[in-house]
Amino acid sequence: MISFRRILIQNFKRYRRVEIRPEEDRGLFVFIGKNYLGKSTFLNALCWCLYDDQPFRESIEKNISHEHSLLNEDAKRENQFDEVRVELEIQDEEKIYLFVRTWRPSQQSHFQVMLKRGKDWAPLLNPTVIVDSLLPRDLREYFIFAGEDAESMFSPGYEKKLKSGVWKVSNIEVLDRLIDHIDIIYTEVQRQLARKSAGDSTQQAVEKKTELEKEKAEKSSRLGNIREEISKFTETRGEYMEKIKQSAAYSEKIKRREILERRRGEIDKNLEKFHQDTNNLITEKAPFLYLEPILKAIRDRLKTDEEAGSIPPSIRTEFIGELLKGKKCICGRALGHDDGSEDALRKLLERIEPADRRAPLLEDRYPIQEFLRQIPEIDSNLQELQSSRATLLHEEENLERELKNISEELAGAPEAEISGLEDGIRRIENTLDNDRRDEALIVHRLHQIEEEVQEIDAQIRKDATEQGALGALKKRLEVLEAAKDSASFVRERITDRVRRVLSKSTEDYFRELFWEQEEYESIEFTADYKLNVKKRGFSEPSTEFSSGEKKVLGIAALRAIADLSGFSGVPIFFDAPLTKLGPEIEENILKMLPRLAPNKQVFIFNLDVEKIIDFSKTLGKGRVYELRKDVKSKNSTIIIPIHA
Amino acid sequence: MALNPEIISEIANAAGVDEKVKSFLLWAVNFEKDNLEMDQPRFKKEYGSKLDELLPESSEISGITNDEKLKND
Repeated sequence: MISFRRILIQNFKRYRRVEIRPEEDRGLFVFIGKNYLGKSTFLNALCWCLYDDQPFRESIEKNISHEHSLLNEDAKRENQFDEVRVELEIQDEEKIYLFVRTWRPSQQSHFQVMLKRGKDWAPLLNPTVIVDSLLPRDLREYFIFAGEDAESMFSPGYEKKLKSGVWKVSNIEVLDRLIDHIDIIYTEVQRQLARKSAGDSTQQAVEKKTELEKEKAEKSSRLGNIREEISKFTETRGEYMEKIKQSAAYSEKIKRREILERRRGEIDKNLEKFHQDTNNLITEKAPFLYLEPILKAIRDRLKTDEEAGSIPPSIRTEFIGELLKGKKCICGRALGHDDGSEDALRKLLERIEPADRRAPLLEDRYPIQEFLRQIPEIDSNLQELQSSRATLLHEEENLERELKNISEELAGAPEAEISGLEDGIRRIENTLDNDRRDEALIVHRLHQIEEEVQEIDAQIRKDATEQGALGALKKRLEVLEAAKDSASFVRERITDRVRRVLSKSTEDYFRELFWEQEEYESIEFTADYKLNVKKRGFSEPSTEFSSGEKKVLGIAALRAIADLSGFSGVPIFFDAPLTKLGPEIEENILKMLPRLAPNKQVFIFNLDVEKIIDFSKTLGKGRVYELRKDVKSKNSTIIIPIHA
Repeated sequence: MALNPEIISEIANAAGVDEKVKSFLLWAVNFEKDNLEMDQPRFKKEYGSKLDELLPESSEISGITNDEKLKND
């Protein structure tokens, strides 16, 4: 049970400062006052403190402007920035809370909730949550309400509002929200399930993987072949390189052989020339050397050095004849039958022969002295020729020996093969380049395949997981579907139960409150929350109600709704319960008012009509207060206790 | 007669509702009562977590109703 221990209103509109301390935690408390004295303002002060709201329409006194301002006019005159403050000290079982809202002009209002601990007050976090747990804002109209509200509960078109209110307090709205949320999640899961079921990616992934593995095997085999080929060609190239290296050595010898052979040719030519030169020398000059004694005798016989002429034919003939006879060539070589030199000598002899018959010596006038002078020179030339020839022969002999050695060394040289080695190496290099390029491409492709296979494996694993998830989603969907159905079922049953409980409670409270209860047979709310009141003697439910009936039905319904809300133990603030009622109904309302408050505080605010003043006299001490204008200021209201 | 677990259990039992489903409903009612203002990602996450708890065999799809997962999907 919740009760108000203290209410302080300071500088709030009409109230400069009032403080009420109800002496008990239950029963009626009546506040009586004329119009414009602030009955509704009092209730607005409570709502402002708790909810920062002022739902009650306040009467506005002519020529008084303070009703539009939160700050009390009297306070404002003294300090235009004075503080507005409302404090509510509320007890909930063992706990005592203090709700404080303050405000100053040009500032935001400040709200604080504190819990009493010993003699101190401890501030609490989340003051709004505390308010909602004690006096929920949504239910405010069921425990702080005006008399007009009770009466107007059954004004035309009330059904919708009533139904909404009942559903709100009985948490039907919670079930509606819950069903909506389950439905949203159900739809999401259903969509996921449909999407996962539609996928057939595993089969595609397996097929793709098979293709890739086949390609991988082919590429690996090809790579093996290429690497084998690379290895083979690398080895071959090594062999070729070795051969080329050897070939370089052979090549030096071949070059040397060529040089030697060329030199041998030159020597042969030179020897031939020596031979020719010797022949020429001997043919032309040697007879003088040979015939030196004869020439000296002829010189002496001629006695003259001026005679000129060529070698006398007889000398020449004799000389050549001697050569032929001695089988000796002019150059000194022995003559053979097949030697051309002998023929040459014979032909030479034949050409000379005819002139041989001429008169010798004198007619020839041969320059014998000159010949004699030439003899040493001829001898020298011959010796020189012989020497050169011997040198050449010696050189030729060495050369032949070297050539013979080179020929022997070159006998095993693979010259033909070597000549093709470089081309072979070039071909091998090209092949190796191609092979290495192919190898790189295949290795790259194999890496790609490896990665693709890994991705596919991941996909297959994911698919397998999703297959598992598929089952889980189905299970989840089943639970959600069952929850949705069950929630709808529970909602239907609870809605019906709430309506029946509300009907029963309203009827009970109505019978408890109303003074002519025997007249009524039953009170019930239909499924669409129309009020069916059956009176005895009538076949059809009543649809027309008197003001008194409406007010009591309203109060009964408000109490029933408060019970439904679970906040039936909170205090009630009831503004103007007697407004717009006839004298008889006023009296009956007053009679039933104490029945509202067996286990809670009920605060009644009413005009100072005679009936309520009389009624107040029946209440105990400290339960009646009067609202009066402050004698010091026409702008402020004071509340004073009236002792019965 | 506020919406309370006893009433829901009573109705659900009478209707033969599965224990897991009933447990989920009771949790959801309390959750909705305690969280009057709630955005969609939040209730999806909370409902998903509760389903994970109720259906541990489907825990591999934990957070299936989680907003981020839904967004990814």
